[in-house]
Amino acid sequence: MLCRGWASKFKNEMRPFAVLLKHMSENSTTKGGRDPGEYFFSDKVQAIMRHLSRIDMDKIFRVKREGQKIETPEYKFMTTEQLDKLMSEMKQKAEQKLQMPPVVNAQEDVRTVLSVEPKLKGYDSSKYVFTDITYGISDRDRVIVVRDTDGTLRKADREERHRMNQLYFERPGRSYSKPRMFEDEYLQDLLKRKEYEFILDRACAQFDPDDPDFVNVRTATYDHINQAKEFDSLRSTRHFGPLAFYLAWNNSIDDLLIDILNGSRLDEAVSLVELNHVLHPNLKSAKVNKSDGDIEYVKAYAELDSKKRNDVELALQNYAQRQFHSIELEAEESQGR
Amino acid sequence: MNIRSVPIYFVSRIIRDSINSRVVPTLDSGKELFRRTLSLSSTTRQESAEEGGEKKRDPTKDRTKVIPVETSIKYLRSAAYKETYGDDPVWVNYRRNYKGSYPPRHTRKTCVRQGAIATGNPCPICRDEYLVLDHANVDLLKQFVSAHNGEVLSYNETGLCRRKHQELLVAIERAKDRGLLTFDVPFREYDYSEYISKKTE
Repeated sequence: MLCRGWASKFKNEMRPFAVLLKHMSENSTTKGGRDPGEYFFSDKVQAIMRHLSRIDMDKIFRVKREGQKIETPEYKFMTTEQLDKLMSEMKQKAEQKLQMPPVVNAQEDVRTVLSVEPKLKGYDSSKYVFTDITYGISDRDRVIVVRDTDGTLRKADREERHRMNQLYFERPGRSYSKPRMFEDEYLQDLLKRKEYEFILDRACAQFDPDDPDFVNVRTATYDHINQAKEFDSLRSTRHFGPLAFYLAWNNSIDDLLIDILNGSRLDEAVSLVELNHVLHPNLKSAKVNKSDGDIEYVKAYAELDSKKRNDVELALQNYAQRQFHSIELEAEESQGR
Repeated sequence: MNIRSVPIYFVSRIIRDSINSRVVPTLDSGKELFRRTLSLSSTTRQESAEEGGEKKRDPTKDRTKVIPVETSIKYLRSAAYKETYGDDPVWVNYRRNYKGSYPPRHTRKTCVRQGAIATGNPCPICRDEYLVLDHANVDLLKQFVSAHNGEVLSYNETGLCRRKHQELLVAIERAKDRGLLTFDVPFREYDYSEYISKKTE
């Protein structure tokens, strides 16, 4: 155990943090008291999210400039079997890179007092923070307790835990103090510049999934993407699955659905509607059977539960027409031969 | 008048006063015995005739004026900048002066001393007063970040003086902290078991 004295006025001097209250609108993961974490980790939901993310190898394995040593590229001669083996290994690596950051409820701090010892009052002018630095324990399980100046021994709150974990077990990409880019002014600038992947990557590195700051940043980013309809920026990244989950959780999959239909991907549209039904089993269209046909399945959702019924139905119509035209063209070509 | 003819108590005062100042032996009454213009300090001094008036400064070497960042940002988009630097980073066409085939390991400490350029070949930032290193001036900062691995280029490559290099590091750190400069963040791996709610277990 390591003991560290900490001046209590340090906390008062910490930079005030603009709470993104205006983004905690009706779109919130804590809505209705339900926990998205109950659904997020199920195999079915994970499979749907992966399917929606698509795997674009060029985007997943793009050149990352992380301050690594510059090396000359390596060229190898391979047989077909070796190449196939390598490709399957790379596909597995791609799956790992697409591991999705969990969508869970924001966990508020709970003050847990372990013991009260008024005799220790006035022992020192600063608090003492005790951290268990045993190797092999995860940051979340680590025991961190604080002895206040009035003698109370309590569990450390979230900020204290973050500081101690970062101090003794530095994680790459995570900084000791909150980066100013998560403050409202700078965050809005980043959203305007459409740097969604950067915001989310840095938020993942800095915060835990149940940190209220993380939830705020994510909510703001996803809302902005939904409004600007910039879904492509997150495709083939680890954040697309949680984006689809968030939109489905808040009953706002319409824009994404239209985007998918305009790209003529009916299988993904079906998956998205299925995800919506998994998260909201009480919807009217949840009772519709998928085996009736893909287009009918999506149409049922559009008719019964969609908020943008006309737009979704129009997108479906356009998709159907495009399919019809392409079938006609194929038929003409085969006749012409 | 040679030193042997001067009494001992005068000699001690001469020695005390002579370090980095003019040798002006005085009588106890304060009246100067004689005035010598020999100086023991390393820098040359102006003659007393000019001491009363202002020191003449070359305006092109003057760096007392603080240029605001907004001006610098505008300058980087101007025709004058384009004509001077073209499309290359500002440090590309700068060459350090040194004797021999290998440059010294470190660049000079600073080009600007006492508010003026104190060298004949100032570094790429000091030579152009409208290049201000600030976290808002992202276009300028990007020129000093490696295109291959995202690292900040060392002063051996860019030729910056050490003070400007330090200012550059600070500006880049601030810009990254505010998200004005984006970069590739290291991958964060999750252990899902830590987040699965206890109810489902």
